[in-house]
Amino acid sequence: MEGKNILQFQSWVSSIDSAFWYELGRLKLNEFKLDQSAVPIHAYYGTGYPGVPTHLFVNLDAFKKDFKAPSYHYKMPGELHNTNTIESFKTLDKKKLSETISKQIWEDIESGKAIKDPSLLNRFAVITYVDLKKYHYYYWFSFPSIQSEEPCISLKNELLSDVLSQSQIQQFKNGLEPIRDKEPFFVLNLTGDSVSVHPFQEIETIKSTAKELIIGFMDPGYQDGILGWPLRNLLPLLRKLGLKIVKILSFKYPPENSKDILSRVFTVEIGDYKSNNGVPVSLASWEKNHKGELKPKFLNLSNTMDHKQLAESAV
Amino acid sequence: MTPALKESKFLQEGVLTPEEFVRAGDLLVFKCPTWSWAGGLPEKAVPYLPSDKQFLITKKLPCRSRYREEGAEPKKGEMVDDDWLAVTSAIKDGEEVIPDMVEDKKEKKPEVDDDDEDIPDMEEFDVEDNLVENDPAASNTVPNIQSTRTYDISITYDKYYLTPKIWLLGYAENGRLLTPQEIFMDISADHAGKTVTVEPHPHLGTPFAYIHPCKHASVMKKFVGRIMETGRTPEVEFYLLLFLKFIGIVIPTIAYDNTFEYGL
Repeated sequence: MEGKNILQFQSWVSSIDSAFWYELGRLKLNEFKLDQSAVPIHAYYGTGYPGVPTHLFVNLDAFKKDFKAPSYHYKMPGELHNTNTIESFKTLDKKKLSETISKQIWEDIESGKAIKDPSLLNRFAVITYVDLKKYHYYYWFSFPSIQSEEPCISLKNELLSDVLSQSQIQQFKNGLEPIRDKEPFFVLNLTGDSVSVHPFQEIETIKSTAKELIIGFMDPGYQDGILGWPLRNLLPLLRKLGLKIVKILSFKYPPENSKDILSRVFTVEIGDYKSNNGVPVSLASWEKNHKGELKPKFLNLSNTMDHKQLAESAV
Repeated sequence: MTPALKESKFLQEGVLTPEEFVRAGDLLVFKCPTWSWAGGLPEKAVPYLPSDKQFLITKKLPCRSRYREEGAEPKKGEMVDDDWLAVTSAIKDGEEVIPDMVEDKKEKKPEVDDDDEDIPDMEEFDVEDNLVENDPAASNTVPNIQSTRTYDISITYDKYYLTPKIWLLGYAENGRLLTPQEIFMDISADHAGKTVTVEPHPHLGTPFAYIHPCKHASVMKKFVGRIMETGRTPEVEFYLLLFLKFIGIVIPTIAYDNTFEYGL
């Protein structure tokens, strides 16, 4: 597919386990009490399958300090703001919250901290209000991103098998294996007919010597031509590293026995990014609810959490 | 307490040791990366499984149509495996008495008011002007998922039956959890209410529907026998991949990873 298209990103759809809500209720009662300070949590995602939407998952382990995403999944750090009342949930300064996170992301790009830990590029915020008596849960995610002055452009979109030879694809697969669970982003170094795969942390060294490189990312997108959200904030980092036109590998695990390599290589022209005294131009991207409205999500777990009701329905 | 099974009885009886369950789970995760191992609540962990491999889970699988609404009764010998039908007819004959949620006929009318389920206290929650953004690079198109049910499927190890046990958690289109009655709409008529019960998930504590494992071993044994007739000996690592084929008959409209072919 050729053509000058604005690079499109698939918005996240959050999915929280009911066990997480149980754990949040427990922490609220025993530890947070009335404290509304931000609590660090983790979410995680996997790579996309055609037709099967990829969600951003939050599970029981989200509060763990040593959070580890399951195999073939990648973690995203976030902060949870649990409010004590529905009023404080409504009046919380959401714009300021997402801007603070954008600023942190920008600082991590500027300082190079994000090269060492690229998962920092995908910081998110979630605000919650839990009504523990009714088992009602209100929540709203923001996925801030740094915005370029001109949109990033997709110049070309090719199958991986059109970009690499069969032998190169095999080398790529072998090279990916040791880092596949650790790194949401990686670098392919192409020299002649050989391909080596490196953790993203080595980007600066490779960039200075490589003739040709491809930046790879674990892509949760599941629609043709639409990339997963995690790439969005990698682009300003790549631009900061001096890359303007860059090949991006959208990597997806193929279903077993599938002959198709679903992974594609996009040639992307990255726009320029600007900041005002360290404050970047950014988007908050508050998640839309199931009706497509810009409103919080709501979950009523009274029929599963309320032990009295549960006992009655289980007669 | 029955002691954990130590020696393999997979080929003879279609059952698994905890150690074999882990090996079979590892292969499932390797073949179908949407499945993951999880540890669950530490206080619910069982000692005979590794702390980070207490159970398997795959989340938010789309379930685009209701089995019941489709009205397609499975025809014998056609889409449904004979062995499995044999199993269900055995259950019908009352060979096994299985705890049953629907049996008591207290079937409440499912409260299907998804579209009208207004968020309490949120009526006046107007979109805040300062949160509206123009983002040409964002694709909000979410074909089908917002209008489809989804399921989390989990597999635990059942120490009594020495087999995997399948758990289901269903979500309505708006993310609300499905009631057991609604879940039964997605389970084949032969199994809903007869072999499916709701109970807290052993490692998460929240209620899931489970498929009763009493016949799993005999089904697996027959399947093993059929493979051995072709002169091959199935490896125990493939247990869960084979097992999920059968589960596909119970939950025919849930699109879980089912791409693996053993080559029968």
